[in-house]
Amino acid sequence: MKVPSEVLDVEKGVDPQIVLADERYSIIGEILCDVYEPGQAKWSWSDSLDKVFLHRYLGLPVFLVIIWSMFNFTFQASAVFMAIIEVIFEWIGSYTSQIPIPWLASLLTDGVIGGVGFILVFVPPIMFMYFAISILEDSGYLARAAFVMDRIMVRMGLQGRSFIPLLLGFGCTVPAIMAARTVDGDSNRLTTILVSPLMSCAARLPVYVLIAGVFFPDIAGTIVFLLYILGIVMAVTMALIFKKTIFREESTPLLMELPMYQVPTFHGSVIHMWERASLFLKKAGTYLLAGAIILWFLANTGPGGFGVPVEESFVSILGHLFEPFFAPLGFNWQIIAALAFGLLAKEVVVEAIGIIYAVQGEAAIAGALALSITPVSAIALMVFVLLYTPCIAVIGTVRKETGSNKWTAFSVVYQIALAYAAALVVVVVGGLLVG
Amino acid sequence: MDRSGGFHSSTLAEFKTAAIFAALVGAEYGILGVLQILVGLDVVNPNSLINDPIGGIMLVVVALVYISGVRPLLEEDQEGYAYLAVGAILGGILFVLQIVILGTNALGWWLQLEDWREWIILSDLTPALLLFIPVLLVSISMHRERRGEKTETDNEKGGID
Repeated sequence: MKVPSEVLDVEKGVDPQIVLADERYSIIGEILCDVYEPGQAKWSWSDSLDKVFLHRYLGLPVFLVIIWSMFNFTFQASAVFMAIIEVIFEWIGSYTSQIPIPWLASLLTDGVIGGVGFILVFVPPIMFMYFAISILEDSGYLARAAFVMDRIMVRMGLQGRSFIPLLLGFGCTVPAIMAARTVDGDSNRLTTILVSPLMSCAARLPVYVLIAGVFFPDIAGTIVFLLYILGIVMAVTMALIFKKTIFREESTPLLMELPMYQVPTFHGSVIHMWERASLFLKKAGTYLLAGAIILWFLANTGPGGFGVPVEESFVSILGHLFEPFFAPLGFNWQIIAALAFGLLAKEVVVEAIGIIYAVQGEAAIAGALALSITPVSAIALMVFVLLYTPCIAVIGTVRKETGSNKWTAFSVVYQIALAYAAALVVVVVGGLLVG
Repeated sequence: MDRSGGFHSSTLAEFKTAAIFAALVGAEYGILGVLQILVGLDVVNPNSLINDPIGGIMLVVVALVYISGVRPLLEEDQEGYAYLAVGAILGGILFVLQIVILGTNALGWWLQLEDWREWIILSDLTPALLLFIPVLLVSISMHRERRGEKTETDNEKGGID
């Protein structure tokens, strides 16, 4: 297809993609006029379903029903498989704890099984979530979800195209930030890079599943769903704030061709799920294993040497260092240390909780956590995990994509400040409600 | 599904039947959704096994989709069937979700895992599960009836030709 260059030159301020799409559809229209005879029988399901899925008012509630179902599926259906894996690791732990060499027994039981073993418990919800995402993607609905959200974002004066990278952020923040390259305009691109980390990535899921499962077992799926929604709301809100304050650039509408609806195949969804699960397993077998061993070492070593109680370890020193700062949120030093290590990767938060509390199994950790923080602080903790800097890989990607130390530092600082402020609001409002 | 999407020109009676069906199913989902919200908020029957107000909101959304289809169906607009289809898809998603949860909970109970020892099947028989079965059965019978009429009409046309 040829578009006269003068069209693109003359139409200054108009997105060339829109001009190209207009030309493309005008040619399609001409061809259809010659070959297509309109009639009721030609009316397709795909078009008719879009009348409802992309409905002006029903589109968003329908999107929420689907996403809520996805998170309930993720949490509730995987719970039994998590329990089975936990029983297996408890059984292995009962043998490793009997090794006659105390440091080796502690390393394997508290470090490897308490850390990596505990994180592997969260493989089922990750697999289930990717299975559900794959079904949504293959059915053609995910593109519609972007379309539904785009309408809201554009109405708020935001760059609609930003929602595609934000949607990728549900999986991992790193590709989400990289996908911001598709967004037009430096300011719009920077806004997308800055708000992408607020979308809840899969690495944060184990933290939510653990905390929500301990404190709100009956509505854990709903709690996880609300956290994901909060992530979207915060991303849109922050984008709007950036747009009104530091960045001022015109928004362009999202232009996308919606695929036809299709029935997703079980085989395809399982393959997609396994691809993501195997990535997680590789991460668990390499970085998270190394992290668990380092964490175990730091939890057993202090100024007094190796083998000190955890309260006298370097981990404890780190946790106590920031304790006054986090005291209003009700976080103890163990949680604070876990959050600090969580900057390496969000899964490490759960791993660290397992190692620092040095207890085996979810039930024991649940007991330890329940004694450590209140339910209101537990919500504040999940909100903090949702909003603070995801991991060092994200910091590196922001530096690479912005090419600026200033914006990288701003990204980290504003996310920590936002996470703290949001968690504080939860504690204050929760305190007023609970009494 | 054929290329026409399974649609054929509906008669006035078919549109009316579909509109009544949409209104009834919408009302069912709506009433039970509101009830589930009230139970979740401890306003009604605080000792109920089903304590999920957000789940109730989801049922209300399904109800809204069905009810939104009533008007176009009464106006003999084919697009009204899309509301029935999306309502059925959403109801089906909530139904399958509950079936999967029920199945995994039953597995946990069968394995006698700690958190599932006191599980009872009644706790998983939610409105989302119970509502969809009659809706599905009626939808299938309505669809078969329409298909049958379409085939008869096609045969008659073929005979005339």
